[in-house]
Amino acid sequence: MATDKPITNPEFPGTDSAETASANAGTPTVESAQGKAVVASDLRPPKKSARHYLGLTGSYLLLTSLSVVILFPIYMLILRAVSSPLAYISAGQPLHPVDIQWDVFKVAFVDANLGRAMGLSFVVTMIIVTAQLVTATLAAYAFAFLEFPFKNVFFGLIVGTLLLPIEVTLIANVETIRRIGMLNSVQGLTLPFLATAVGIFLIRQGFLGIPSEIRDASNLDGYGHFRFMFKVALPMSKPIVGSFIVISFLGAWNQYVWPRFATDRQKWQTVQVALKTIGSENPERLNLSFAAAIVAALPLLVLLIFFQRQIVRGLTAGAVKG
Amino acid sequence: MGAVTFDEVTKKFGDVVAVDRFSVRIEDGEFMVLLGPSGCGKSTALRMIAGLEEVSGGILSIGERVVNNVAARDRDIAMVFQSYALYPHMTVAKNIESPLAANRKVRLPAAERATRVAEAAEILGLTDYLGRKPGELSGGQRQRVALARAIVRRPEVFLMDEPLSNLDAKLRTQTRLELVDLHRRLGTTFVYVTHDQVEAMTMADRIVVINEGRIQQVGAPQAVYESPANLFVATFIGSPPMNLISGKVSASAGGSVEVTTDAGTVTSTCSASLSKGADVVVGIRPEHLSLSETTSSGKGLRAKVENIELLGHERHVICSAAGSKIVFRQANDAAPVALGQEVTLDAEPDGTHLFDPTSTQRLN
Repeated sequence: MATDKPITNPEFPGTDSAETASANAGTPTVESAQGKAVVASDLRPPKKSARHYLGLTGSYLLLTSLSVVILFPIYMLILRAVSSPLAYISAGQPLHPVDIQWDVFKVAFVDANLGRAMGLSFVVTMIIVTAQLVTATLAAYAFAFLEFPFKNVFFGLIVGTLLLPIEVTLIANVETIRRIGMLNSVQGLTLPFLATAVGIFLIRQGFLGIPSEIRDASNLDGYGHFRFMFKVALPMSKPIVGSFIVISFLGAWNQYVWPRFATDRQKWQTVQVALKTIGSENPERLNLSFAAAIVAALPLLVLLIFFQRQIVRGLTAGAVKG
Repeated sequence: MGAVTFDEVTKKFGDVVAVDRFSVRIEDGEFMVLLGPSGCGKSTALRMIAGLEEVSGGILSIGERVVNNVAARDRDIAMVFQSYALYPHMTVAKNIESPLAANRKVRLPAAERATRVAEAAEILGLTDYLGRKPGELSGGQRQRVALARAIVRRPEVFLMDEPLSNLDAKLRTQTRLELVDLHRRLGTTFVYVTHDQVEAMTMADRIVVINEGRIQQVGAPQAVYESPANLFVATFIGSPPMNLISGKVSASAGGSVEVTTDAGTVTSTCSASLSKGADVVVGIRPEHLSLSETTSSGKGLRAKVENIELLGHERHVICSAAGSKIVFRQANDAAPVALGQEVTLDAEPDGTHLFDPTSTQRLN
């Protein structure tokens, strides 16, 4: 309210002053300023006690040690990637790099075929994320806002598929893909993942969080189903949609089992399969595997930085009253 | 024209009858308040006008057009919701523009939309806030954005569902006046739902009092207050509520009826002739009772003072009289009564209402 400009409309005299007054009520500064009973030192922040600083030190110590626990494996990964493998082992596997070789990343990317695998994974991931977003949004909209027979039964069946691990459907899916001639193809890599119960469930939850009065208001305003979805429902569910995009991207990028079964040529290796191949084909060059793992994780790092706020808001949505 | 006509309109949710055979005509340009306790069906009636609830039976018309099967967006109405229902991700300007832009088929040209938004914002004093999001506004400002979104489409009928209940008391009083002013300037039909009798009394041209899905009484605020149609209306409107005492008719002649109660005898102006000995419920508003000057006449209600509420400009004296609670008003400069004092109260015959105890309907 402090930044509000006064309303100059003569139609409603006193409108803003009343609101400002009610907004100011309860702020002690107004009264004390008028009363002039305030000593200047009272306005300074109160002196922090030793106990306060002790508490602060404690929490910093705790957070730092937790960060060390989380960051240590990553440090070791980088350390072992850049160290020459033999020199590192003969040096007794110390906590510092030995005989640093920076070109290992280039070797992994170019010579070990990681670049091509990452390109393919990127295409596959983009197709899967886009398709999942479209199908999940449409299905979630139907389950959240439309009435149709057996709605709850269908929803139960869809959510039920979450209980099936990939191993259950793997053989049947591979057989289907083989029969329709889609082994070793982008279609084969993406087809089983174009829709997902996780997405439908998450986005439906987001849609259900939209107050019914907003739904009524947009009905009166004249929004049709599609415009309501794009102009109101999706923007209002942005945090949840954002976290779903991340979940979907992570899942698609990190896929190993399906690409392993749906392809049998090196040309069609996705990034996780390629990582495995690099390891088994170069057992003497362990640093190559580590370097490849780092390169393969970079897109995820970028994604997490980009969507950080959305993820936190999405995961805590509904936990705190808005 | 923006008249709204209910003709035997009924709404059922499963077996529950929410609105039971409503018949009332809301005139063009009228400020009509639907008043009743929570769950009485007033909001359902409003939502039926809006097209947000289907009509289960009867005929609902806006102007001369039957709207039973007309979609909400095609009814030429605008609604203000209790929670304001603003789109949180849109600016104030976009929120106000929404009804004009939502439907691509009937969308106005952009320039026309901008003019209308500016005009609505001007009327409601929102011009400086057009670029903000609803989350950055105070409750009162949000409420005005909701109103602006309603007036921007220049509807035939405005519907308001308890629009003031989320405001604090001070702002509510002020917005009440603003709404009455807005109604005067626009001259459009307003249908306003509330459970607050003060809002109803201060704003309405006419009130529809509703209870348990049925219309109890339709009339101007003063008429409803002065001659309530039944016991529900009598006790629902007025604060403190009307005093009710059971009694029997002891004499009925020449336009007045004498009723004997356990607390004493009262006389009521009544053109109907009631049979002697008939059971009645006597209703007297607190302002129609006064301390008797002469205690020997044998008339009046004998009561004992149990509590006194001081309100500054007046006092409410709460008494017990033969098992019933009786409240009367006293000006603050009147001679004070003491707790425990035995008093005799005179009732004004014109302010003494008689009701049938079984049908609860008004008798005089």
